[in-house]
Amino acid sequence: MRRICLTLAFCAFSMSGFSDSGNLECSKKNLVNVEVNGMVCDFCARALEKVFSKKQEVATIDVDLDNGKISINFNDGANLEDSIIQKLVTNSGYDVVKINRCERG
Amino acid sequence: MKYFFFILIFSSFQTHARPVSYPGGVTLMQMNDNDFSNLHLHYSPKINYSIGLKIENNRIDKWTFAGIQYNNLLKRINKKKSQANFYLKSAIGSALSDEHPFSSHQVPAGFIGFAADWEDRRFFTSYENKSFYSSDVAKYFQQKVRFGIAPYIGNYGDLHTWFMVQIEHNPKKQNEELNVTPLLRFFKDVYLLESGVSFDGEIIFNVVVRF
Repeated sequence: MRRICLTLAFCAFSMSGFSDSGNLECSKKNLVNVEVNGMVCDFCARALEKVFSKKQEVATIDVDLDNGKISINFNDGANLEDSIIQKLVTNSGYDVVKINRCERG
Repeated sequence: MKYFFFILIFSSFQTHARPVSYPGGVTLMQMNDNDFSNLHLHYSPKINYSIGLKIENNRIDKWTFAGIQYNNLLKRINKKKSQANFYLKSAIGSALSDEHPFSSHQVPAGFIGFAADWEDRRFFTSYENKSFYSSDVAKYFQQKVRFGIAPYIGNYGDLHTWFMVQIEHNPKKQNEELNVTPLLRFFKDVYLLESGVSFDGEIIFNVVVRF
């Protein structure tokens, strides 16, 4: 019985761990993930940094060429509407596929 | 006349780095091969065009062109794993000859052309052409094609390396109509550097910095 309880507890712990890692991208406040088409070149993707860094709402931007995604970290209390994000990505030379907004805590 | 416009539209020059940047972006391109040294500094007010200074020096025929260059992004195709671009380029200015009997002879000059590229993270290909005209100082047509392969796939911020082959076609050069140059391209952050030596021993050295 003790073994069963330990096994169940281990499974529950493992599942909660997987659950957390699945939601890792949204574990931070003020983070927006954007799926982008056309982002294949590091040199050209520098435009994203340049364009987004001009916005005072944006703290940092992470570019993930492998997965065609950008993560925008906003300053506390700041935000940009989807339409503005879309425009900034387009101005950088790319097309927005999807904007994933995280729950604000 | 129809053929004239066809040539105008489909002749150009591409530096193998984007001639149009992001709105507010400034790019410096400095390129050198056996015949030419080029400097192009451009500013992009919008995503679909750039305007800038162009200086082109031909060391063999001893002339220098200086003018204003306008680059237009005709079409960009963004796919999940690739991107393609089509550009129209043009410049207007003056050419100054240092070659006898035209020493210090200055005439209006300009060029126009077309460029296209396609790349994913492993492969790269581009085509460019350029038709230059300056009455009695210089006239030439040139086209280039490039194929590239990345030996490894780097992520954002890594040093990126490309093995490339450039085939240059100069119809007016009797002994060097075709020039094949294997070259290496590196880029990291906002700096791009590429260099190679052609089968004829001619050196290419290009630097691009995006501000």
